[in-house]
Amino acid sequence: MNHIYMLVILFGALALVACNGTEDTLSTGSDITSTSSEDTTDENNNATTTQIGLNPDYFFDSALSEPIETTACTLTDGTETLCYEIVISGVPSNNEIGPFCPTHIDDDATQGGVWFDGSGELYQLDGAFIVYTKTLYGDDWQLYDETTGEVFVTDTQIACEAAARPNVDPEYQNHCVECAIEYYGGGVAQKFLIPASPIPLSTPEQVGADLGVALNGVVIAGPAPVSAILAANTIAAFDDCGGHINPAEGYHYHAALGCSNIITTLDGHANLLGYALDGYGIYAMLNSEGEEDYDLDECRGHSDDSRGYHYHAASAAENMFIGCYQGAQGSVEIVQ
Amino acid sequence: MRTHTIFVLYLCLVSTNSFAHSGHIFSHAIEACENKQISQKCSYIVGGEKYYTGTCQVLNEVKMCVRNQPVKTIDADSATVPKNNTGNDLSDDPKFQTLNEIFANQGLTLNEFSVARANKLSF
Repeated sequence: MNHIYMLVILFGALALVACNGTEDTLSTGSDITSTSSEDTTDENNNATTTQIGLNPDYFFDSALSEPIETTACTLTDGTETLCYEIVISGVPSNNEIGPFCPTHIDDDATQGGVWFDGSGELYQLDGAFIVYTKTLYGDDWQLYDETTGEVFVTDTQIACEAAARPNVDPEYQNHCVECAIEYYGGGVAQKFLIPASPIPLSTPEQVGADLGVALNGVVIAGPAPVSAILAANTIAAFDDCGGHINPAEGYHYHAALGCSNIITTLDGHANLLGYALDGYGIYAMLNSEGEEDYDLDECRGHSDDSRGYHYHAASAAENMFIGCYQGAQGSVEIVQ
Repeated sequence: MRTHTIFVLYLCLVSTNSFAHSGHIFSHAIEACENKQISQKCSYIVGGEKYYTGTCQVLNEVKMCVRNQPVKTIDADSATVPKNNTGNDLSDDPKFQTLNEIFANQGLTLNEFSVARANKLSF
């Protein structure tokens, strides 16, 4: 059954299957038909790693506000080249956003999302976890009304923004923090410029606040600032896809939980989930056998003949996707 | 003095609950790189049995340990070699990072860790 499913994915006229099982058609840029591929050479003109760039066809059609086009761009290392211009609408194309916080300590895991604090554990954000925070984080944690069992949730835009700012309003400490996408126009549109052919760097560069785009049109962000969040006795809840909403950039992912993955090859390799700003693909952590590679570099990437250089996301519990960039980056900006 | 130091290190390495009950906000990945440079090897332990190894990187202005090897598990009580995610013995794997290397990164030897872990029952 799985083989039939995979064949349909690969050869069945560009059908994509998202994490919730819904089908989506592929994006078709007006002048773009295939993945760019280019061999690079070292200083002695010897062939090195094949550079395989972003494939616009892998994006879910409804994730994009406009068809993907190419445009001139300047990368972080000063290289002037061609980039893909990818404009997202700011909401995932294949599943609903949320839920984030449970509303009562009796709520089960289906009524909340997940939480990770960088300690290596991924917690189901159910009512029991809300109670457990006092044990986990300290006696001054009280995220619920002990009389009613109701969880303290930021359920208005004012509350969300007062709790999401760096200096959390004391009124909203000891809250499970969530924001609704409706507060921000139903999604924050953003434009990515990603090199059509990746330009390898001699020295890796640091990852910033946003590092790439998922195939379903969601921003892939760097680690969530969990220490600052916890310091205010708050939980900035993630949904089951590892995403949450903030006032600055709307919905974005802090963890890879399989919601934008597609199968791109039949060799058992991990699924593609998105692209980094340097144009290299970001794949899931585990291959089809449930195993992780042993030869990842410091950025969590490596090369093979089929994919060229590419990254593998870390686990959600680690609060990160990749460790650094091995290529010169394009850019991302909010569309006004 | 040395025993005391080892025990304190052991608590830092193994007991997440000790942090939790004190209200301290912890992140093993950040603590693992507190005194290291970018690209230096780092490692940390979660739950007393899961070993994360990688290098220090700066992500969103925070220096932290970015794992680039599969998570290893160990039965430190019997000082066996780590196993991979599927429980297979890694002793013959050429890419296997020995326990002594892991603990050296933490400032401990395997023996010291085993002693500290054994002493846990006394405290």
